[in-house]
Amino acid sequence: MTASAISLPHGDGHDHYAHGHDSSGYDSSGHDSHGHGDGHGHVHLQYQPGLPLSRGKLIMWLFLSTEIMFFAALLGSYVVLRFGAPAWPLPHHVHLSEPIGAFNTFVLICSSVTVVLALEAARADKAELAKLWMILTLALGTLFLGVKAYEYSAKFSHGIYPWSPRSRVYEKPDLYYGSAVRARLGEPAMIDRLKALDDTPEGTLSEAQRSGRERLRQIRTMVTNPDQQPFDLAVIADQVMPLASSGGHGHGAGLNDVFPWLRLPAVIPGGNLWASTYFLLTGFHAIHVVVGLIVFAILLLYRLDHRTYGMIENAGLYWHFVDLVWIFLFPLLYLF
Amino acid sequence: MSTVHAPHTPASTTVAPPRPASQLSTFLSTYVFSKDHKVIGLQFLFSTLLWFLIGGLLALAVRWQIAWPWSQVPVLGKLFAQEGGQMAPEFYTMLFTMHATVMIFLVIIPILAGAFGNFLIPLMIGADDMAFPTLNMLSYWFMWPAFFAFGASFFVEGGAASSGWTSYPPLTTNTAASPGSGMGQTLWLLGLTFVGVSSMLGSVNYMTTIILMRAPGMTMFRLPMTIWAMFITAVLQAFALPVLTAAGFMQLADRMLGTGFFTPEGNVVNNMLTSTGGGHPLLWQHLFWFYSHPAVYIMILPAMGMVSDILTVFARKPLFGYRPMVYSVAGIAGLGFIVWGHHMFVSGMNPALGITFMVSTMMIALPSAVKTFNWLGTLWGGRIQFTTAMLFAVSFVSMFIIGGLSGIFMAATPVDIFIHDTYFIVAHFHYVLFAGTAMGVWAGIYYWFPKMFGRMMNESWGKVHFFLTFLFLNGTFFTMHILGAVGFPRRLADAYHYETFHHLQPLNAFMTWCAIGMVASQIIFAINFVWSMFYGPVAGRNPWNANTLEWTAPSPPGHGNFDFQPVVHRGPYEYSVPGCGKDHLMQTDPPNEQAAALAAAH
Repeated sequence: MTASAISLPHGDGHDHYAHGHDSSGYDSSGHDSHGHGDGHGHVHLQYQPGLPLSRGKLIMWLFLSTEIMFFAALLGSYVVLRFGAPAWPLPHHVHLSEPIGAFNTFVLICSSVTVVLALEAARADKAELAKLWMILTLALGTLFLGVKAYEYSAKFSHGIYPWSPRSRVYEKPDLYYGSAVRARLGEPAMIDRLKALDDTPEGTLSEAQRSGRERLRQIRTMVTNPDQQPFDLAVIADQVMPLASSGGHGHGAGLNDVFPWLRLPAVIPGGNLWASTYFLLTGFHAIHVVVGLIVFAILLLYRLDHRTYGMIENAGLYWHFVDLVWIFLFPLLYLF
Repeated sequence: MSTVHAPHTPASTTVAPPRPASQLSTFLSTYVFSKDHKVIGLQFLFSTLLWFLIGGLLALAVRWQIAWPWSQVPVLGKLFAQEGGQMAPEFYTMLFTMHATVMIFLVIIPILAGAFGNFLIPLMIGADDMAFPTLNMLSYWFMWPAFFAFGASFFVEGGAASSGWTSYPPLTTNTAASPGSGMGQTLWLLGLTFVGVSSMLGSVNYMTTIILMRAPGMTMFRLPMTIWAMFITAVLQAFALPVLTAAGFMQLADRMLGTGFFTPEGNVVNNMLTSTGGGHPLLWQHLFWFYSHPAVYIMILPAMGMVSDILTVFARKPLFGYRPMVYSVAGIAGLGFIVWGHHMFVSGMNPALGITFMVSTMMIALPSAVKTFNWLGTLWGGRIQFTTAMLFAVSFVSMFIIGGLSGIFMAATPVDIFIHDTYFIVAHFHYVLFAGTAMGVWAGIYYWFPKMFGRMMNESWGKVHFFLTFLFLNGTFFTMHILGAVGFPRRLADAYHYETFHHLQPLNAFMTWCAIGMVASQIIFAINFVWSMFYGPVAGRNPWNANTLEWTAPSPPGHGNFDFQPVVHRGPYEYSVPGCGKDHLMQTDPPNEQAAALAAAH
C-alpha cells in the first residue's frame, strides 16, 4: 500500500468480520483469494495449531480457568474468615437445612447428566431428543434456583440479611442489642400487637404461647429497666433465640418462633459474617446458574444436531463448572 | 464459511457510498466499532496516551505540593479551583491515589497488553486477526465504562478515591473515613471491575490466538520474545486478575451492603461505628497483592519482550540465549505468584512467613539477571545502530538494572522495615515502571510506528525527545532514592511538618522542575507522533531490515494482514549469519542459501 495520504490499517472500509467470523471453532475462513497485490489481497491463511482443539473449546477452557481463580478467591476468603472467626453459628441457628441443600446438590448433578445426554443426542443427530434433554436441563437449573430462593426467603424471614441496616443479627448481647430490642418493642404497630396479646383470653392460647407470653412480659420489663445489668441482656438474647451452646433448650423455642410476628433482633455470634459469606458465595454461584440458563435458552432456538454440537459442548463445559463449584460450596457451607 | 467479497479498491479511489447513513456506518464499523485487531490496538494506544497525559498532570500537581506545600498551584490550580488553587490535604491524597490508579489501570496495563498486544500478536505469528474479533472489540469497549467511572469520580461529592491505589480497608470500607471514601471509592471499584473484565476478555483471546493461529512452521520456540512475553502476560492476567475482581466485589459489598468481609468488629472510623462484621482488613491486603504483585510483571514483561526484539534488530545480532530468555520470563511469572507477601512485611505477619516471602522474592533476581546479562550479551560485539527506538531500548535495560537492584533492597525484610513507606519505594517503582516500561513503550512506538501508520517518525526529534526524557526522569526519580534513604515519607501532604525534613525542600523543588521538564518534553513526542502520521516519510514493508513476520506484511497491513501465506522456516533472530550473503534472514526466507539468494534477487 503506497500511503500517499494518511492510511490507517483497514482503511479500505470493508469489514469482513461482520459475518460472525468468531462463532467458534472455525479455521481462518471468511477470506477469498482474489485481488492480489498492493496489500489488498486476502489470503486464506493456514495455521499450525498447537492443540487439537477448536478455538471455541480452548477459549472456554481458558475462561473456566479464570473462573476457577475467581471462586478460589471467594472460597479462600470464606475459609480464612470462618476459621479465623471467634464464633461461627451452627446450621440451625441460621436456618440452614442440610436435607434441602443435599436435594439441591442432587438436582444440579442430575442437570449435569441431562446436558451430557443432550450432547450425545445431538451427536447422533437426534435433534428432538436433544431438545428434550436440554429442556429438562433448563428445568432442573430453574428448580435449583427455586429451591435457592426458598432458602433465601427462610433466612430473610428470620432477619438474616447480608446487609446491615435490615439485618436483625447481633454478635453479642451488648447495649446496642438492648436498644435494638427496645426500639423494636416500642414501634407503634408492635405496641398494638403486644396489647392485643396481653388482652387475649388465657384459654385461646396454646401451652407454648402461654409460657411465651410470660417470658415476653419478663423481657419487656427488662429492656425498659433503668438499672439493667449486662446479665439481663444475655437473658433477653436467650429468650429471643436460645442457642444450643448456652443450654437454652430447657424452656422451649425462642420467642421469635413462638410469635413469628415479633421479629425481635437475635444474638447469633458470628452470624453477620456468616451471612456475608453465605450470600456472597451462593449469590455468585446463583448468578453463574442464571447465565447458564440463559445460554441454554438461547441454544434451544437452534436445531440441536451435529452442527451445533460444539456450542452444546461448550455450554455443557460451563454447566459442569457451575455444578463443580456447588460441589465445593455444599460441604463447606452446610456440612462443616 | 463461504462469503464473497467485492473486489478491493484503494481507499483513495473508492466512490463515495450513495447514502450518507451508510458512510457513517462504514466509518463507525471501520474506526469505532472495528473488529480488526490493528484498529483495536490503535484505539487502545490513543486512549491510553490520552490517559498518560492526565496521569502525568496529576503527578505534576502531586510534585508541586511536595516542592512548595500549600502554595497556589499554577495553571493546573484553575482546573481544581479549590480555595483559590491551593490544595487541601485530602485533595493531595486523592491526587496521588488517582495518579497511580490512572497510570496503572488505564495506561501501563492497557498500553502493553491492549495496544501492543492487539497490534502485534496476529502480525507477528502470521494470523489474519485474533481468534475472536468480536470479543477483542468488547475488550476495548469494556475499558470505556472504566474510563467513565474513573473520570467521573473526580466530579462527584467528596472527589475521587483517596485511600491510595491499594485501597486498604478500613479507610475504604468505611464511607466516612475520608471525602474520597464515599462515592469516589465506589466508582473506583466499579472502574476496576470493568478493567478486570476487559483484561480477562483480552487475555483468554490472546492465549487462544497464540496457541492455535501460528503460521505453518512458527513453532512456539520460533516466536519472537514480544509474543512470548505477551503470552505469559496473558497467563498472568487470566489467573491473577479474577482474584482482585472477587476482592473488589467483596469490598463493594462491604461498602454498599454493609457486609463485614474486611471490617474488623467494633471498628470506629471518624466517629462512625462500622458494621458489626468481624472481618479481616489483612484479608484484603492478601487478595489485593495476590493480583497486584503478578500485575507488576504484567506491567513490565511485555516491555521486556519488545525491548529484546528491538535490541537484536539494531545490534544486528541474534538474541543471546533465546531459550533462557523464554524460561526466565516464565520463571519471573511463576515466582510472581508466590511473592505477594513482600508488600506486607510491616503488616505484622509471622516472621517465618516474612522470611519465606523474602526468599521467594530474592529468587526473582535470578531470572531477571539472566535477562539483563542476555541483553548485554546481545549488544556485545554487535553493529549497533543508535536509532531512537534503540536508544529507548538500551535505556530500558540500564534503567531496569537500577530499578531491579533497588528492588533487592526492599525484598530484604530488615531493610524494608526501614525504607517502607519512604520515597525509596517510590524511586524503585518509578524506575521500573516509568524508566523501564514507559521507555520500552516509547521504544515500541518508534519501532512499530512505520507498521502502524505506514510512515516513519522523525528520528532527530525522536532523539531530542529521548535525551530530554532520559535526563529529566533521572533528575526526578534518582533523587527519590536519596530522599528515601533519609526517611522522607511518601503519602504525606506536608512532610515538612517534621522539622528533620526541612532541609530536603530544595531537593524536592529540583525534582519538581525535572518532572515539569519531563512532561514538557512529551510535547515534542506528541507533535512528532501526529506530524509523522500524516507527513512522515513513507515506510516500506521492512524499514529496519528486521526478521519477524510483521515486516513481511504491507505497511500498514490491510485487512487480513498478509497478502501471501507466511511460512516460517527459522527463528526470529537470524542476524549477521556468517556466509549467508545478506545481513539478516527473515523468518519467511526459504531454508537453503541458494533459495535465499534467489528470493533476495526477486
